[in-house]
Amino acid sequence: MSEYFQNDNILVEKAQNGDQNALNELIRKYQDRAYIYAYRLTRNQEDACDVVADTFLRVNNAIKNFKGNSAFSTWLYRIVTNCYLDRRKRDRSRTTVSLDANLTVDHEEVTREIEDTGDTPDKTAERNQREVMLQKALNKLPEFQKAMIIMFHAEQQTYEEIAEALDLPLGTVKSRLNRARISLRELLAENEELFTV
Amino acid sequence: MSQERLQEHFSDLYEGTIDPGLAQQIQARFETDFDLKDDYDQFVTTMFMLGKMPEEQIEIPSKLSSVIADRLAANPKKQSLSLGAFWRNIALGTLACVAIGSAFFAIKNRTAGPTEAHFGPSMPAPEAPHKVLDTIEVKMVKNEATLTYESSGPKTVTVVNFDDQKLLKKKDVSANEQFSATLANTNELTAVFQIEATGENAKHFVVVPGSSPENEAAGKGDLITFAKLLAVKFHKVVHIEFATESKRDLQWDITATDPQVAATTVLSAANYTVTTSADGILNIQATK
Repeated sequence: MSEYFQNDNILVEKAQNGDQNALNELIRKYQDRAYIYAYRLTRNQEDACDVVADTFLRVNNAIKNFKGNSAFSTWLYRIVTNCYLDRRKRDRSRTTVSLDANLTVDHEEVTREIEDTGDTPDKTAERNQREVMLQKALNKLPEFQKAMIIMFHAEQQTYEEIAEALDLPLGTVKSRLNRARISLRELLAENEELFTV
Repeated sequence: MSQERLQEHFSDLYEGTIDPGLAQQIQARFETDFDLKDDYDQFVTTMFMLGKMPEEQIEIPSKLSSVIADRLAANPKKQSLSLGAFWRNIALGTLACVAIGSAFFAIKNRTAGPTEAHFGPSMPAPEAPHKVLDTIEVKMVKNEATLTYESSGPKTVTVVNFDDQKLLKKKDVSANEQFSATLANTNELTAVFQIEATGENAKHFVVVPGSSPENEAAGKGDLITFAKLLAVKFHKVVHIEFATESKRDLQWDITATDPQVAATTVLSAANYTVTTSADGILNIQATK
């Protein structure tokens, strides 16, 4: 059977013993998933690629320390999140940028669509508008809350998986997520039309 | 209970994981506290919007693998490999240059004449995150297939053009000396580099696509022929490794769009395993 189909535990064990092919298999298996999560956090292709590259560099350097108490994928989420948070910290120390600046070219295209539809927006435009508003609101959340929201709602991780990935008690994850959702609700409420039927 | 305290239970209320007594208490409060009810209705709308997040289509950039591979290759924590003596003025074939620590091979201009081997500009030796002795490794470094070999003892490494069996390089390496070479193909046709090290059972073939267009998807032949087709069709470097190869006739009709799936479909029944490295190289190994 191809190594690709071997389970993660075997690949991790081999990688820990210096098997480069096993590590490559893990990278190949998870690079897309890591990218999607990183893109959702950064909303920028270049930044997401960098976060993923940083992530697998850390995986490479720390694989021997991975004890296997959680799934490899859970550990990976933790590393992607940490790489993203470190990157944001570095960015903030360099320059002050509006959080809205994260919304790049994609959003301009979406905005144009909304303008084109004028006063009679169809469902697609309405959906796009909601997505844009949601992204803007997400970008105004504290980074850690944003990561939790994306892990739960976009990546469909369970509370338990998030607790493992972020090394937090389950109750803390639940209460912080609730707080993040309420903050989002308040941010979105600034655009009242989103909540009118 | 204050409005703020009640909001702490919105997620549980929405997900139905709230204590029934508390749920009743909040529902009763909704009857009189319209602000709280409005807040909850907006919370439900927010949850609905969040529920749409997984539907977003996110395209994976084609360069992702190479960005990861480059970052790993530049790993500051990698182990430092000892390089062998500098190679100077090694003349093979029709052209010879100087290579420092590594060599650049090219099978080129096949249509214009016989295959040539030359040594070109030096490049930094690719360094693996894990040091493995006596193993021929093939990786993509800056979009080129690169061979590295570090020996535990005195060995001779040879690189041959498989199609005409012309010797491209022969290098004696001593213990812990690293042999490194870029395997480049400027040809129209696909090139196959055959690599061997004395004392090693494994034979290695590195198939590098040329610039010629895609071949017929269906056909039959041996593993090298099939590997050439894979290399051209998917524009990928294919690395074949086997210890004792018996002739295995293969037949194929490639319909898959994923190279690993296409290769596995044909090769798994013939006892080959197929994997793809993080840098995109398709690896084929004989299992017995």
